[in-house]
Amino acid sequence: MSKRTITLIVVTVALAVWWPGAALAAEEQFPSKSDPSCLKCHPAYEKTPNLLAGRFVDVAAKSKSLQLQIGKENEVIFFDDATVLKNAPEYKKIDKNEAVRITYVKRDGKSYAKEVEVKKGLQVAKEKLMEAEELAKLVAQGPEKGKYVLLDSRPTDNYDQGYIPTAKSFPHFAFDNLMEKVLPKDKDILQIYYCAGYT
Amino acid sequence: MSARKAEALGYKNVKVFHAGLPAWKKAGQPVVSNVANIENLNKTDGSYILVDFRSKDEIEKGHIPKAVAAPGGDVNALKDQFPKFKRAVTILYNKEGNVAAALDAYKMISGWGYNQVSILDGGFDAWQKAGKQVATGPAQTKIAYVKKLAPGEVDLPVFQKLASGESKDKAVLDVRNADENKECAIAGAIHIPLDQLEGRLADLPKDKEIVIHCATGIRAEMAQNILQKAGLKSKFVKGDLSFDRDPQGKCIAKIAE
Repeated sequence: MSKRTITLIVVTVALAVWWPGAALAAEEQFPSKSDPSCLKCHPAYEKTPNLLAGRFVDVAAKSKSLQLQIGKENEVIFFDDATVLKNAPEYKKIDKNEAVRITYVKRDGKSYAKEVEVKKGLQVAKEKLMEAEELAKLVAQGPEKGKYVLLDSRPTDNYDQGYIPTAKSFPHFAFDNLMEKVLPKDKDILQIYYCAGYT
Repeated sequence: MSARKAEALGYKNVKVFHAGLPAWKKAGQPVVSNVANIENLNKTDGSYILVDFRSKDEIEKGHIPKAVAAPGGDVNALKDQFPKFKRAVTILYNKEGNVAAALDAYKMISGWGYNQVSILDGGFDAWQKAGKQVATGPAQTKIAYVKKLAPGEVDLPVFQKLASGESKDKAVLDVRNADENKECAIAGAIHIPLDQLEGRLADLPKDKEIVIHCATGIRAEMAQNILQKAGLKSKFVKGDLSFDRDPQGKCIAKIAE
């Protein structure tokens, strides 16, 4: 046994002990790639092997492949009948730009998905959820009559391109800088937050 | 999450519209955009459709440059001028940004399949108040929308020439499946199904630009990504192609109407 092989075994065993998914550690590992927007909330993705996280672009049913936007690049990932699809009835039903997390392996230079999960984001308690219909009623009344403040958490560029009427721009990443300017003095007034969907 | 931060600051009535903007649009609710958006589009040379709903008199006194007129929000007459491209950015405005007054037109255009429609928040008043350039006289008579090519997308006339065998400095790559290729394929095209592409990069010419097509543009775009990463010069055809044989039996690829 070469020195290199021994080192590899030691590292693998160490990883197997350290890593919760010990069963996986014996298999070959492939580098993780994540879109910056995913890493903001999930910094651990960077160190998780076999993981691709990004925004859904499209799917080609005939070649059984899908595209994920990760940073400025698009990744092409193939799937088959053994691929587990989570939180979507079929690939065609995944909306463009939805956050998707994929566990993958490389075979013959191609990336194969073992699992494709459409991210449903943080759990929000039911009583804190607002539905489109209820929001539409408030928006029709306007902030003064409806007694609410509607806040758009997306970056300013996205806001400029299109937002819910009466919403104020309040990007999540600038929360601390903007809170004094944007947030109301009244602590009891209804505040409603939204962004580009489940992230 | 912002909502949690707000609660931590002592706000007692914080809610989350978790499904967000996509759900809002899906529910048929209107979206507004602002003056900064038009400015950004102008700066980036982005093409957009701008429709002024005010009266002819008001428009002639002053309107946002590039606007076409649809007095009273009657957009039906403009329908034929809308581009085929459904993601064309479309901005509607009236005097004060009255969303309710623009709603019927918004719904009609959305109903035609356009999914980037918005109503200008604050309307022409906001534009003027922001001190932006105002055009006088009649509005544009026709929608002049130029679709910007996506990165790596080939100009359609270039592909048309290629499909008829006119340009020799480029190679055509068909990434459709074997059954599709067998039915009808462009003469001289290299055929490698997308799922075999990575293993067969050596079959491709290194000295020519490769123009990739499939049937809809989706697989071709994926293939273009693969070739780009492999350092091969390539472009792809975006959009639906139809394949038909001419009377001589030659396969002709056309961009579908």
